[in-house]
Amino acid sequence: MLAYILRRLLYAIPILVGVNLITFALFFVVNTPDDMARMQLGVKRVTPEAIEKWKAERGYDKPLVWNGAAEGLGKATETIFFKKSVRMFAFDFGRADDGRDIAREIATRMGPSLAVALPTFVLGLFATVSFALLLVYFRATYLDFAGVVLCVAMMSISGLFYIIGGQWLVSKIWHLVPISGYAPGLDAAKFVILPVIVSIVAGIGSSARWYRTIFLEESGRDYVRTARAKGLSERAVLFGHVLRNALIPILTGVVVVIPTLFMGSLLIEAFFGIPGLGSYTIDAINAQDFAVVRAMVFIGSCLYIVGLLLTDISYTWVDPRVRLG
Amino acid sequence: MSSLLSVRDLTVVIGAGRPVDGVSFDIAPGETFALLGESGCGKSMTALGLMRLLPAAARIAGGAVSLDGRDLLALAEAEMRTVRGAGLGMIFQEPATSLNPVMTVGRQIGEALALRGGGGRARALELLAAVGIPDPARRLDEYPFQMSGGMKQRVMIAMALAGEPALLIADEPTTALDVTIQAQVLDLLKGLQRERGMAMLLITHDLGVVARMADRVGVMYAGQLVEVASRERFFAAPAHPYSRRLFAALPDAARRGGRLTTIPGSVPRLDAGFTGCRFAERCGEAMAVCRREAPPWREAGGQRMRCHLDIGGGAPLAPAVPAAAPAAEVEAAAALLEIDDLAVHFPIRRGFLKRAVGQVRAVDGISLRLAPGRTLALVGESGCGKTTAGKAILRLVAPTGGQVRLAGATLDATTIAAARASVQMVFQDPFGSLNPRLRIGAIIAEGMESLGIPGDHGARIAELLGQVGLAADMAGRYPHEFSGGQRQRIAIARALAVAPKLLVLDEPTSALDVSVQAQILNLLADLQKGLGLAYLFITHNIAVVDYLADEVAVMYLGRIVERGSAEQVLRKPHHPYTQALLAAVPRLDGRAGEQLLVPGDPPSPANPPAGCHFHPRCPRASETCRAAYPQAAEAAPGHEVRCWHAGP
Repeated sequence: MLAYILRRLLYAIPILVGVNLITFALFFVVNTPDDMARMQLGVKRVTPEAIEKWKAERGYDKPLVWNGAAEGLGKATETIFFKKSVRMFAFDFGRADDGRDIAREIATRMGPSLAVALPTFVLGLFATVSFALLLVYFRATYLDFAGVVLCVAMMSISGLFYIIGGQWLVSKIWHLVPISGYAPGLDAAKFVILPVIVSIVAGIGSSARWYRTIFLEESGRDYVRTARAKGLSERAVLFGHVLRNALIPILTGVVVVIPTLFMGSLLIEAFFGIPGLGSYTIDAINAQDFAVVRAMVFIGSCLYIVGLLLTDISYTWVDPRVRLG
Repeated sequence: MSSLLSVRDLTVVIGAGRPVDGVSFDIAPGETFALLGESGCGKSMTALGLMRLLPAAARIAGGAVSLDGRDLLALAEAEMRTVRGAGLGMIFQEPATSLNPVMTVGRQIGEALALRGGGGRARALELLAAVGIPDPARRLDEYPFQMSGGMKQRVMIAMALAGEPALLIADEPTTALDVTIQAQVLDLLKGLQRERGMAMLLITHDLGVVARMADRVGVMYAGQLVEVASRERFFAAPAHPYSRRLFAALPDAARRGGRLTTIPGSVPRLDAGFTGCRFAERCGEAMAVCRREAPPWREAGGQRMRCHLDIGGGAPLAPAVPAAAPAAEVEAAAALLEIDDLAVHFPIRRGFLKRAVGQVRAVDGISLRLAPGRTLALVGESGCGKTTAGKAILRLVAPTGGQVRLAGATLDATTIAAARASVQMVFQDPFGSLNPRLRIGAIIAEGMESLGIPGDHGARIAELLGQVGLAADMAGRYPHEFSGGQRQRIAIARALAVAPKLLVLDEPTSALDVSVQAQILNLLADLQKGLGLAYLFITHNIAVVDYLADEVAVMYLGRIVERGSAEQVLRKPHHPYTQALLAAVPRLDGRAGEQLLVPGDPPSPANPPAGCHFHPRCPRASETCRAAYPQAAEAAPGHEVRCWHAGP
């Protein structure tokens, strides 16, 4: 198992190099360093000198990936790619274009992101699995049918509708919680509760329908018939046998997102004014701040790789047949 | 005789079909009643109906089931649950899928025990010991995937016994098992039944199993019972035309060289809406009345059948052709296929760098000769490497050692493409081995196209379909429109398309019913005679081997332990494994008699025992056997045995 984890972590290195290269290429296909400087300096003070000065201060005056003017190794190292992107492998993210330290920014914004993402994940999983199990318990009845129709209806509606509808109904009409914003500490609860509920409602339709299919497929298996032939009650069959086996396919989709919870949600944070990493990323994209964008993409990729590794490890917990080697 | 279970007019419907249509029978305490029939005749549905565990689409439409005087169909679901396990225990066909894969065996048995007030680990341990699992304390904490098929079936039995059922329903309990393991499990069931006075409803398609186990027999056809008789009566004189044909379709040595009686057509669709006798379309003795009126039950001497004929009436079926005198040995003829020391080793990779830490010796140095126009049977139990050997000959898996020569030319990576016109393979599962998205014509033509065989492919396809007994206009259809037997015919036509000299047949009939198997075996015999084909017949079915093989090679754990003519190997076996294999086949005369049981399971080919691979299970094993693998010795000219203590 240890050998397996080590090997997988080694595989991560070429993946991260690739991610860095692609982010770099995509960003500089759309922008040039000159565009970035103009964007930052604003319309009024733009002179060629100011642009050159801005680029020199931030190291954007070098060639992108190959420096023909430099000597020896410098041809590869005296470049924007090497100076900016390679440093990230030491988790040194540098400063944003507005001069703030990116690492510190991430540390302070992680809290608000998690405050929304973690309850959404835990409560959402619980709600979805319970709803799907309920449908399976009443399978082939009108209740099951109605549930599936509801799922399809809910997944057909855009997530934006739930966000705006929720804000309008709960905040504007009922005045129960603020429309948007955030406060640190326990006060966060009243800001977080609506985004959490909206996220769960927006996601439950498609997940519950998928889980129901998995549960149904599992409950048609031979060993379930054996369990019934023993005389077990329907509840014992469902919870003792079906659920545990159905966890295996469900884990594939669930465990992988756990590490990425730190990254928050772009949409929800933007709409509810949560000062988390999701809104940080959106703002950086709007400001064409390459330093922040590539840092967020890099961290996201790292967390995703960790998530995949955790998925593999979690298989060994639920399925005794799986041995990593 | 008071009955324990009484079933009256049980009817199960699925949509418009009636898989079980008015079935009635009784089982006395301690008695074994066998339901016999081919697939799709409603045996399993009857059993699931008794348990009220029918699949969602099916429901019980009528009838009565009473167990010990209790009407099971009237019980509420909660009450029925107390009957399951305690009144009626059930074991299923596929031990591999019928146990929960992520739960330890101990917990699965414990669950059943907990429903009857527990007993816990100690009781579970007792049960595992009772079903003959070695080292039960360790096994209790293992998962099903750590056990062999036979052991899983023993666990299923232990689980069923946990509720101390009055009646055990065994649905094809040994169909998925090897013959030596089948013998062990049948023995176990019989012993447990005697000990506990348990009645048994045994569901099977295997006449041999019925002969070995049953007190009374009920034959099912198309959802109905057509004959009920005591075992003695049934095996002495089966009465119903269907029963008689089932017997006549069985291959065995006595029918060697002759044709098997087949039952034309296949089991009718159950939503057909029957007016007359359901078997009339396939019955050679059908009269006008058979198609008009449903036959009445007739009874004579305790034997009952549903037929317009009288019991004992009906024309005798064509008598078996007596064994032909063994053809003059054609050993001198140049061998078509020569295999020398063929080996297929799969590396076991472990660790950080995925280094090979060991080898699975699936095929470990086998040598065979096959002359043109002859049949060589490669016999062995599952996991012995026979299928891998077949694939290695065609280089469908790359051999890691040895040589294969076809008509003198060595087959290697460069010559195999051209040689595929001379050697073709037919696979075991006709449902999985035909591409479902291609029409039959395209499936057959594909081989000719890829090998660049000239000529009118359309005409050739029509000819091939005719050869295998299908209509030429079927070429435009898709595989799912055909039955299992028809699909195997298509697979054979596909193999024949490139006019090969040798067919490697990998268990071509093991997925088929007896009556369909007979059709395919007859077809293979005709093709051999007509086209001069040589067959390498890979199988575990001794009866089929006895019927058609000229030569036999017995494989155990990657090596050939005995080979010779069919007469030599099957009549005068010298290797103790061959002897055990032959003895384990259930006989129709029901005489278990001197059962020679091989204990235990075959060991893993990744870690074969030192010395002779068979010694841990061998009654003759000695120190020599533990020390070294025996060299081949001739017991008679052409009869080779690898055993230190070979002998009849």
